[in-house]
Amino acid sequence: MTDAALGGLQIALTGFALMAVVSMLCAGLIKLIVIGLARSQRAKRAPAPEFVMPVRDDRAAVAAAIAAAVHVALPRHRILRIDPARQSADWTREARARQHGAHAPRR
Amino acid sequence: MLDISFLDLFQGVATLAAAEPHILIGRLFLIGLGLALIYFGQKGVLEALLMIPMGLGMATVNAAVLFLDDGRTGTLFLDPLASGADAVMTVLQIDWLQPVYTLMFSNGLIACLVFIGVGTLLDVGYVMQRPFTSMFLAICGELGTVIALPLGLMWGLPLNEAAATATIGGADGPMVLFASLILAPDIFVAITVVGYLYLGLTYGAYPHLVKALVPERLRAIQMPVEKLRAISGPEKMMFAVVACVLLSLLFPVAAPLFLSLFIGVVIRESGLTQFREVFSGPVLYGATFFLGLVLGVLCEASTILDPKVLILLALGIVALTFSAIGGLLGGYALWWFTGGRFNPVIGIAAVSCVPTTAKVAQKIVSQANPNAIVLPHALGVSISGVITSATFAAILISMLRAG
Repeated sequence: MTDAALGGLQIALTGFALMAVVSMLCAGLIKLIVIGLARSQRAKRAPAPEFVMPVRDDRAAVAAAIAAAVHVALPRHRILRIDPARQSADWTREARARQHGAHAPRR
Repeated sequence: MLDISFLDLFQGVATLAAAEPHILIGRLFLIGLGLALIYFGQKGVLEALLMIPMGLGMATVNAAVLFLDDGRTGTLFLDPLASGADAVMTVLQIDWLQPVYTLMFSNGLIACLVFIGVGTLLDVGYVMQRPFTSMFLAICGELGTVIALPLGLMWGLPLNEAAATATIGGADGPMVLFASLILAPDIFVAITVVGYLYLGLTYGAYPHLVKALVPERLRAIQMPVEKLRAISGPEKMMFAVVACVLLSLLFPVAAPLFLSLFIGVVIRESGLTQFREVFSGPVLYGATFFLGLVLGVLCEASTILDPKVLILLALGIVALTFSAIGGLLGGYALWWFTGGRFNPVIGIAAVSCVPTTAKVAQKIVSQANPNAIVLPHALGVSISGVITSATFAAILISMLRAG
């Protein structure tokens, strides 16, 4: 092996060792962030409120009816949340689709 | 009657007839290679997104050589050898791809745009769930760079060019482009073309390498079920911000790439849906398209045919092969360390060609055991590989510039 190649090997090995140290420090930093944030979230978490069925709330009856209907129609699915309809972030796509539809020549 | 000869009329053929034998053979070979890239890209053997525009660009530019006003031969695509403000300004007004080359390619902007797009696709949660395992394998996947650098010097390349070529072992296209722009601006075109050509081949070649080095019973190992906490968006954002600032503080020379990658991650995790759609779609695919097209057009025979290219081709294949072997050796080390519960095929994802090598790992494992899922682990390793290869390239650049 020539002197130049030996010099190159030395540079490559030094660089590799430095890269390994920096990468492992990066991994340690990631672990610290994950552990630190997990602890802070646990501390902030408020005790769960007592579960009370809002029997006098009409919305609960509506939600129960929707859930029952979905369960009958789509038995393999589970309802996770029922919310009022909101404008989605995809409003541009919807507007674009409407505009393109309005210009469809075969309609 | 008009006195027009056949060769005056069809200049592509005329320049072919007038060319020196090695250029003539080179042009015909590159036309054939371009067509082969299109064929294998369309078949799914090579990465189609890059190889189809690159192949057509390569085939067309070698067909479309004509005589210029001053008697030289050239094309109307771009002139990478134009130097000096006047010459560049002139060629910017004539060659249609010159603006893309001058204003996006040769300053690394296109690499940064690809990195922003890649960042918006990366879920760093996979790394954050298993940081040490992922980073260990990614470090092993840099073996090719370590071996290719001294080998390049032995084969007669100067140190800066050997180092730039060795970064192909990191298997990160934008990183290879960026490192060679800084370390070896004279041959950065050839290094980048070779790098991307081989990165396109990884999808087709790595499965054979893995099957040769890992027996089927080990390829079929099912990863144990882990109880992992889901990483939230703000946690991922915090990691991206801290890592970006710290790595830029350590290696300012690679800061544009760090910023590009991590700003993509931040866009993804911050819920900026409009930005995410733009960068993960039009920007990423637009940049990839023009990158492939310009790389293909740069493969004009008289530009790229240089004795050094053969050395670069050999070094590139050595670098990528040894990086894959290094990753698999790391996989074997973890397999041994965990008492045979770790699937060593995941090591191939250490070659950070995101997400290609992770998909290769899952594909090979699924062939051996359809129930085994290694993709989350492989993605974590692959994303870590982006960080390690950027860090390694930045260290090499800093060391060589300081020396």
